[in-house]
Amino acid sequence: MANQRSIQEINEKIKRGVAIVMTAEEVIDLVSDNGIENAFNQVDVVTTATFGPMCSSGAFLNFGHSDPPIRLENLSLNDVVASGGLAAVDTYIGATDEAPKSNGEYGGAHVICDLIEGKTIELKANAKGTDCYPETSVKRNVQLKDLNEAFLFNPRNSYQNYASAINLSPEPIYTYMGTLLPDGQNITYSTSGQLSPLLNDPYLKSIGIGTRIFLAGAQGYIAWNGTQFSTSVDRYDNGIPKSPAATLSVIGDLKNMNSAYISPAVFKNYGISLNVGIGIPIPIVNCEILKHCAISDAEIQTNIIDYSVKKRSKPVVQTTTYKQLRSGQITVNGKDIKTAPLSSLKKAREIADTLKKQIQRGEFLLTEPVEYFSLNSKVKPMKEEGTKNEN
Amino acid sequence: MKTKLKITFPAHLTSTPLTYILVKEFDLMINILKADIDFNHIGNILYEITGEIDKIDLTLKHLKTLGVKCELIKSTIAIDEKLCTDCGLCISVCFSQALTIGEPDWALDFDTDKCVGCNHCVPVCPSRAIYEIASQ
Ligand code: SF4
Ligand code: SF4
Repeated sequence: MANQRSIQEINEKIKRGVAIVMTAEEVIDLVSDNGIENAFNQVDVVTTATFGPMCSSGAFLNFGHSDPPIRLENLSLNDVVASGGLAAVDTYIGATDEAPKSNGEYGGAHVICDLIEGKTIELKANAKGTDCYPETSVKRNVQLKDLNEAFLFNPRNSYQNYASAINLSPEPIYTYMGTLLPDGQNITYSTSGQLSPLLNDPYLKSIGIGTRIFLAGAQGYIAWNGTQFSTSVDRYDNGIPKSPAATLSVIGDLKNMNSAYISPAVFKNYGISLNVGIGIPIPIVNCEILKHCAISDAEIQTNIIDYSVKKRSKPVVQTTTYKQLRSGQITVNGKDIKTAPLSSLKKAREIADTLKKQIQRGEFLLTEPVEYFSLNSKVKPMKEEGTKNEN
Repeated sequence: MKTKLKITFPAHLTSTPLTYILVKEFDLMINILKADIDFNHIGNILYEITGEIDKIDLTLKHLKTLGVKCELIKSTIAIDEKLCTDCGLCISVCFSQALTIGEPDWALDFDTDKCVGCNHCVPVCPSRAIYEIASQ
């Protein structure tokens, strides 16, 4: 059939080494030069990517049993507290947990990255001691290779159309969007725009549960929708959501990750986060999918939000495009304001390019989602005390 | 020649008009970028100076005989390229255009000549890739 191809057909081409792969930036020119229909015959896969701070991240680790065995109840890794709420020697370490004496400079994100880099981590734990697990304390120096399993499991990554930030108050504020200077002197923004995974597939027609992805250098998977997943949002005519919308839960093996694509991030007076590099291939199965991949920074609108308003809903100061944000300067209320990114476009491009080469070499095959995501999902605020929550 | 001069002077020199000497005796054009006196009454000044190379040399010698620690520096900060992710966040607080990022490659660019030594970028870098260059 014309203007249609299946993921199986694309995978056959990948295995034969003849699939045509382009990054989401390269495909913009292809489509504008040739039109959608012609371009469709010239591209099989589009690679998308992002690299930036994703606070809702962490890792599951299994240390193996000590002799006599212990159930790790209160435990820390390099003094960062990890969960003691799983059976025996499993734990989950969250990226944003801080080591108490580190002055906010070392936390879960550092532990995860130190493990990936092969560094030694100190595990300290104690327990009440039971018949099954008689040992009451352990202290061990461990490396990633000593663990049975170690996998990243990030509940909320890769936000679709995250808003950009300004501070209109007279005081500086310190946020996960960086230091926002008083009286709107700077604006920061945090997605890779036209290269960003979920902006290239706004209706999630190719991305779903089970999709194989590039995760921090490893081949990982989309495990679930991300938390605060919101798809029933207002959209522009091109499908781009008018506010932050879909998110992804991702999973991947720490043992295959590369510190070039994952690193700790420390935000002054805010805390710790984890820079995560994610690449998602989009199979060009029809013209509609291709049309969305060809959306450029000039067509991606996003909101500038005043972060000085200390409420859940912060006011939108202005709507702008990624093209304007990327220009380094925006006019807000008649004043020219400097813009700065928070996520690395250079790294995102490296990831999109690496993924492209992996697909061209037949090392990375595409997947059909096991399950697609709902497009009617809404986010609820935290339940107020003494009120009845809506469904 | 245009360069940055960092001087550190002991308590007993706080009342000596050092800047005046630099201008008057060594014919330097001077721009004070930063100046402070700490709790021990030790003073620090960061100048941007323009003048003939020989005169700058003589200035340094003269300052040393007075008991002033001095060094010519390119900037007060340096960037560890291994840690830098080229995110671009540091440019959000650099208003001297010393730090810039953009097309074609979106790699961070640091122009030491334009750096005024404010050090605002140091705590802002999430990768802790920017560090203050320690004085000798
Ligand atoms: S020290 Fe100040 S002027 Fe120099 S690069 Fe940093 S922010 Fe810019
Ligand atoms: S903020 Fe730090 S990591 Fe980001 S570009 Fe500047 S120096 Fe590099």
